[in-house]
Amino acid sequence: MSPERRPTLALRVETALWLAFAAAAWLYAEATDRTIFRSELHVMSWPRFILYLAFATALLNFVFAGARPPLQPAVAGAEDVQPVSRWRVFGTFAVPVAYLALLPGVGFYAGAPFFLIAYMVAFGQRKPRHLIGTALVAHVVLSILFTKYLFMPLPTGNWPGFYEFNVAVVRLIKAW
Amino acid sequence: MLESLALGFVNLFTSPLSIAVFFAALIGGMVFGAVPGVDEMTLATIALPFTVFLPASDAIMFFGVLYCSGVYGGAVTAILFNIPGSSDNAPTAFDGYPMTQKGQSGKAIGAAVTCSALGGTVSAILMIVATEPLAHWAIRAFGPPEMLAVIIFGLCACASLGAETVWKGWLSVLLGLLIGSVGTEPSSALPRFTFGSDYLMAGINFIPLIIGFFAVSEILVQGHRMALGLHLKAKISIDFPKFVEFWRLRLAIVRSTAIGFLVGVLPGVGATLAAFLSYGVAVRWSRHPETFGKGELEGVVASETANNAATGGAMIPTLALGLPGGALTAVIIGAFQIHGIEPGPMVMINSKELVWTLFAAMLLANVCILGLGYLETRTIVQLLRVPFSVLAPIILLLTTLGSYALRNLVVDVWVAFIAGIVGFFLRKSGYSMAGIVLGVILGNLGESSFVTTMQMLDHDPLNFLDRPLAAMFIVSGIGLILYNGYSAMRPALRAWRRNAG
Repeated sequence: MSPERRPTLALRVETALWLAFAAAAWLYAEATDRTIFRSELHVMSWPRFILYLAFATALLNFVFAGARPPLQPAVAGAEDVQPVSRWRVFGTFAVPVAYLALLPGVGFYAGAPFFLIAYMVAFGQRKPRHLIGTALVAHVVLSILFTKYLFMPLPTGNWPGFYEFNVAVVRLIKAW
Repeated sequence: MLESLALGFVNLFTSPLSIAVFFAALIGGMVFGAVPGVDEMTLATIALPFTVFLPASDAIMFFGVLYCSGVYGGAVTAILFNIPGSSDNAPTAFDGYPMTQKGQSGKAIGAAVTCSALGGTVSAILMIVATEPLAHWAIRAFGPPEMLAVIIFGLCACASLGAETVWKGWLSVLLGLLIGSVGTEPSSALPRFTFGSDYLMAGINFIPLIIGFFAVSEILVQGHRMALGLHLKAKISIDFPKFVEFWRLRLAIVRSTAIGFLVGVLPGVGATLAAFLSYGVAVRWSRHPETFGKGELEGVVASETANNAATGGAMIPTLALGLPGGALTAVIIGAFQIHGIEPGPMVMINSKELVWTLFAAMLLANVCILGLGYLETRTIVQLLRVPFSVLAPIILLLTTLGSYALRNLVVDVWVAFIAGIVGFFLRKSGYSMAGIVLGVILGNLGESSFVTTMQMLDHDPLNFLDRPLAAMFIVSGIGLILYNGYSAMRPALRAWRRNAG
């Protein structure tokens, strides 16, 4: 294989992940089939067929894809060029996950404004009027729209204090 | 026929309630389609239980109009934010978003408006003319083997679109097929890949998946780019395409209308495959296929004409056979059942007034898209002036609500977010989100059709040759795979031959 077509580390890792995923799924399919007393039902035949194709395609990708194109460089004239911020990258993923994890306990009406503020901060917004104003307006509009007009029940939380707060907000919106 | 159509218009315009429902559906579809994170399906599923309070003709008319305006509405977010409103608009984003990045957002949306209205209007006229004859033909000529063959062809066609390489496109579709296999096996109803979870017994719902792979992953990608200083603010423009530009694309418009309508007629397939097929055909027929995916207007035209043209076609199997042409037509069937009407050939006789009111409303809705869509171009495009750091959290909150609205389950929201995170890494590696979603949707349909087909063909695949239509689609699909595979292997094979020489 010529140097320019030698697979990159990223391609090797990608192929290894695909092969490992296909192998793990195939093993699970085999184990599932063994628990079914009527093997002629072929419950896992279709997923196994897909996994064979995925295995073969991942290998073909490895052999024929060649070197990956370089990462896109920063474009001249792009706005807001700032140094890499690992915390902002982390926040982009962590804030929504944290919000979802807390949603069943905290509820939508109590949690949404703080989520909006936290995510705007993660995206680099620093102006207080944007942060508070946007969070308030968006939260009020969405709460009224979904609660009063679309009759869609939103999570009210199950933690003490939060549940009562959310229910009070729902009653206020419906009475308004 | 003209008398019946006139009667439909009379029914529509003589009732204030009907007029109100018509405009509510028209504007609701556009707005919900245009707001990232929610789409016309969200509005349709929320509104379904409340339509019991409406007369049957108004209820069915609501969903028909919503279908027309919503399929167009999703193009706006596809073009502006690279977030298709639904899978029907996924191909629109391939060229629409690059056009926005080049400062041609107004032109792209203007093209989407005009072509959606054109395709939808022509399709509505064809629907009115051809419903009964086409339904009779489909009953005779289309069975599970033909359905399976079309689905196989569709999967082969879409695998080559939207990914960095053909192999990654196929891997995307295969991943979608695998996700779609989670749940229960169609013939035996035994659990498959459920890991003992009650939630997974019903399969992974495709709406949170669409929201996650498109909307959530896009937010994460843009957030990542902003953190790295690579985010490019989309340039706004309000220039409508000129007539000359449309004239240049007249062949693409006619072809896409035909593809959209004919594919839409096929039960269970819907506007998604119509949009992808039309886009794929446009790429293959173009003299400059390398321009597609980089902001080619014809890409937007092909996709949007076809998906709106499919709306009229999709109503034919829905009304005549009781088979949904897509997700929203499945909701329409639910609306029929709520009102105690059984969709099928008899609906054309027993509920003639309802059907012709629906026809009239859908024809009018597609014409109205042109006017309202132009107005929308001047308003929704202003969303781009809002800083993305403010818009992104609102979009993400809407995706949360959209996922939750489905079944009031937080698990669906988790599915959307997990799909978003997986989608982020897959997109960074050059995989196709549209391929994954299409694999999920068509995989379920395909497997059910496969089980029935094998029983019909006595488990002998060679019996496909006795069904020329099915054989044609399967041979075309296999040919497409071989052609794409060879094209992808050719550069490496040449390099090896050179090195060996």
